[in-house]
Parts: sequence; structure tokens; C-alpha cells
Amino acid sequence: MSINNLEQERLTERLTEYIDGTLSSEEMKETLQWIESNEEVKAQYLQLKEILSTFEVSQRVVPSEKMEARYEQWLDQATAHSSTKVISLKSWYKIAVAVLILLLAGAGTMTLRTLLKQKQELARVQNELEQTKQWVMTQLNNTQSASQRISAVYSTEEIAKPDLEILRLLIKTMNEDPSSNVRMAALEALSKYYSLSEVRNAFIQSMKFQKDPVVQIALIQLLVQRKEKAILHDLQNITVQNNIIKAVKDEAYKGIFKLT
Amino acid sequence: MKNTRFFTAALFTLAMFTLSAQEYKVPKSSGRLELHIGSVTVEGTTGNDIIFTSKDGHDDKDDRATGLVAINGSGLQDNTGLGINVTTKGDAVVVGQLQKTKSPDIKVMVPKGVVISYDYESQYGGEAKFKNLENELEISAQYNSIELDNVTGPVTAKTIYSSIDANFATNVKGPISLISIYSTVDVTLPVTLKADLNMKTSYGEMYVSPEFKIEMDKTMDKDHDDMVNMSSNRVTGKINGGGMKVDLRSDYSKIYLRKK
Repeated sequence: MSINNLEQERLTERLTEYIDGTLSSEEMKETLQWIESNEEVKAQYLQLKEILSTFEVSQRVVPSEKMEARYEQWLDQATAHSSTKVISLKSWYKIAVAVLILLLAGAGTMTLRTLLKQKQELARVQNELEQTKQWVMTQLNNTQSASQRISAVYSTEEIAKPDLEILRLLIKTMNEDPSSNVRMAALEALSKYYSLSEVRNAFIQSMKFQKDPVVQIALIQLLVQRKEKAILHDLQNITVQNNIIKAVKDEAYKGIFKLT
Repeated sequence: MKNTRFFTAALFTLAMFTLSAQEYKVPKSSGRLELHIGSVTVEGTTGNDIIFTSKDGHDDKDDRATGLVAINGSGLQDNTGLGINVTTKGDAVVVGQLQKTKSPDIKVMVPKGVVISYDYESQYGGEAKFKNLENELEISAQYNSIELDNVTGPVTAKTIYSSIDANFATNVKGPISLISIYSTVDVTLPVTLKADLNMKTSYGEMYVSPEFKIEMDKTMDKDHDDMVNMSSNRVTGKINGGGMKVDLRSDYSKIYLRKK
């Protein structure tokens, strides 16, 4: 009788349980009959019994006292060495964490201080700009002093990006200030913001009513340089008006020539 | 006898001088003085009165007008005996002339704290001279030539047809803005002056004393496509690191910048 793999697995399991005595009495009787009736099973039983008995003996080997002492000594040493290492590692870890925390705290403090400083600096600059703006706006309306008004116009250069309020005041100054010098300074200050539509339109509109020859000449030169053909009609008007000085008319003729 | 004759002659000379040097005083040491007279010489004084005197000779006196006061179409009356009208409007002393075509030659002594404004548009304008002044000056003229001698500024001055000659004191106070459309702008400044210089001519020339080391600003004359106009008829730059604004413009004539 041949034994296939499945049967072999079940046989080994059954023989092991038989050797260990964990089967029921009926199963024990049945297994015994199977061993005695089949030579192959019997041979396997004997082999398995021997293997299991050997394993059982090896399991029962007790170390000698010397060996046990040596083992314990080694274990103590190992444990002692190991615990020292653990303690050392723990210390380094703690130190590293502490240093890291300190560094982080320091860096955090420095960052906070830097941010605070930057914020304060920004606030200071903004405050100065606001003060400059207020001073400019006050002085541009100072009817008592052309020098103060022209200084205010020059001061707008300190404001990196003048807001609309300042630009409108500069436009008003260019068009209405009693002093030609102040008007001219306003025109020059505004010309830096020509790309803004409000400023560009203000220049073009100013052509229609500007009566100050000092400003008219500069205005025509600026708009012709920018190739503003929208002013052609205004230039033609200038050439036919009687109350306009020759220098302005000459500039208008020159502008018409360049734009057409 | 000889001494008596000499004494009589001296008294006579003094009397004549007193007659010709008739004066009119206005107590004022702050605020504005607004002059609208064709020819004038303005000088500084340490006193607290604005003092007007006529430099015209006795030949100009009209005997037929004795007992009458001159009046003009604007309703101005000669309230000074000098051919000028002096009134107070708010914080300003306003001075006008009565005759349209012939302006009296007036000398005005002005205390230090008074802002001096000169505005004369008529073609009959003569010379406007300003000497030894630490006052703020605002000058606007069409035909008058303008002469500034030993003035500190600040000054804004414009004339359309005539020249501006300005010899500044050593203690210059900016800003300075001088514009003539048709004639020369001739300026003498201390070589140590720290200034932001802006000189511009459309059809004229510019001359500068080589002692002024001008740090040229090449970014000023950028047009809209960010190209620097190297053939510009404008000079912008810093003298001695920069400082007060000095704007000089002559459209059709020459600008001279001399060292003091």
C-alpha cells in the first residue's frame, strides 16, 4: 500500500499523537493495529519515535553550574554594557533635543526679532512716507510760498509710487499754480508716470487750456516725443491764435511736422 | 565867509537830496511783498520796515499836477507820492504802478523775513534787480531782465524774453529754479555747493565751469521704450554728491554755470 502526500501528512500527525498519547483509547487501538498490520507504517512509526525521543532528550539538557555561572556573568556584563550604552544614548538624545530646542528657540526668537524689526522698519518708512505725503499735500496748497510748493513737488520724487491723491494734486499744480516754475516742476514730476492713463490724459487735456508759455513748450515737446497724435488739433489751434507767443507757435508747428 | 558859503552849499545839496529821495515806509517784517512795477531795485535791510524810494530825477516831476494825485484805469491812486500805489491785502503788501507805459524807477528796502514776489507782464518792463537779500524770491516777468546779486534764495524766476543773471551768495538756500525762454540764464554758484542739477535747453547751448564735477544721471532722460537719449539737450546730475535742487532752463539761448 502506497501512501500519498496527504495520507503521509495525516499519518505523521496520527503517529505523533500516538507517541505523545494524546489520542482517545479507541484511536490508540486503531493506530496500533494499523502499525502492526502495515510494515511501512510500522517503519515510519519507529523512525518518528526515535526522532521524537532524541528531541525530548535534547530539550531536557541542563547546563552545568559553571556554564550557567559563566552565562550569567556574560549576561550581567552584556546587560551592564548594554544599559551603559542605553543611558549614554539617552543622554545624547536628551542633550541633542535640548540643543535643538535651544537652537529652535533661539532661531525662533531671532526670527521674531528680525520680523519685529522689519515690521518696525516698515512702519517707520510707511510713517515717513505718510508724513512726506501729508507735507507735500499741505505745501502744494501753500499760497504764501512758491519755493515751498516747488520743494513739495520735488519731494514727490521721494515717494516711490505716489498715490492717486498726490498725482491729482500734481496735475492741479501743473495746470493752475501761479508760478511757471512750480508748474514746470510738476510737469516734469508727472512725466515719470506717463504710462498711467490718468496722467497721460491729464497731459493731453492740459494742451487745451494751458496758457503758460513755459509749460506749453514743455508740454508740446513731451507729447510730441510720445507721438500723441490726439493733440494735432490742439497744435493747429495754437498756430492760429493771436495771443500766443512765437516760441509756443514754433513748437506747435514743429510738433505738427513731426506727428504727420 | 568861505566856511559860510560852503555850509550853505552843503545844506542846499542835502535839501535837494531829501526832495529827490522821498520815501514811503510800511512796517512789516514777515508775510509777503508783491511788486507789480516795471522797474525796481530791491535790497535787503535789517530794519522792520519796507521802505520805498524813487530813483527818478526831479525833471520827471509834473508841475501842473501839483495838488493832484495820479490815478489809473484800475482805480489805483498814488498814495505814496512816488508814482506807485501801496496797499495791504491780508498778509501781503501789494505795490502797483499807475502809469501804464512809464514805470517809476523804485528802490525797495525789504526786511529779511518778508517773501518777495515780483510779477510784471507788460512789454514796458525794464530791469528788476535784487541785491543783498536773504529773502525768498518769486519772480515772474515777460520782458524784464532779472538780475540777482548776492542773494541766498530760495528763488523761482521766469522771464520770457529777457535774461536772468544770478550771482548767489555763499550761503545758498535752495531750491533754485531759473527759466528764460528767449534769453540767457547766467548763474554763479559756490563750487562747494551740494546740488541736484537739472539744465535744459531746446535750441541753445550750455556751458559749465570745469570746477563743478557733475556726476551725470543717465537714467533721467529715458523715453517710453527705456532707451537713454544720449543726444539730449538736458544735463541732469549731482554736484558734490547732490543736495538742493537747481533747475536752469533757456529754450532758445544759453545757460552759463559759473563758479563763485
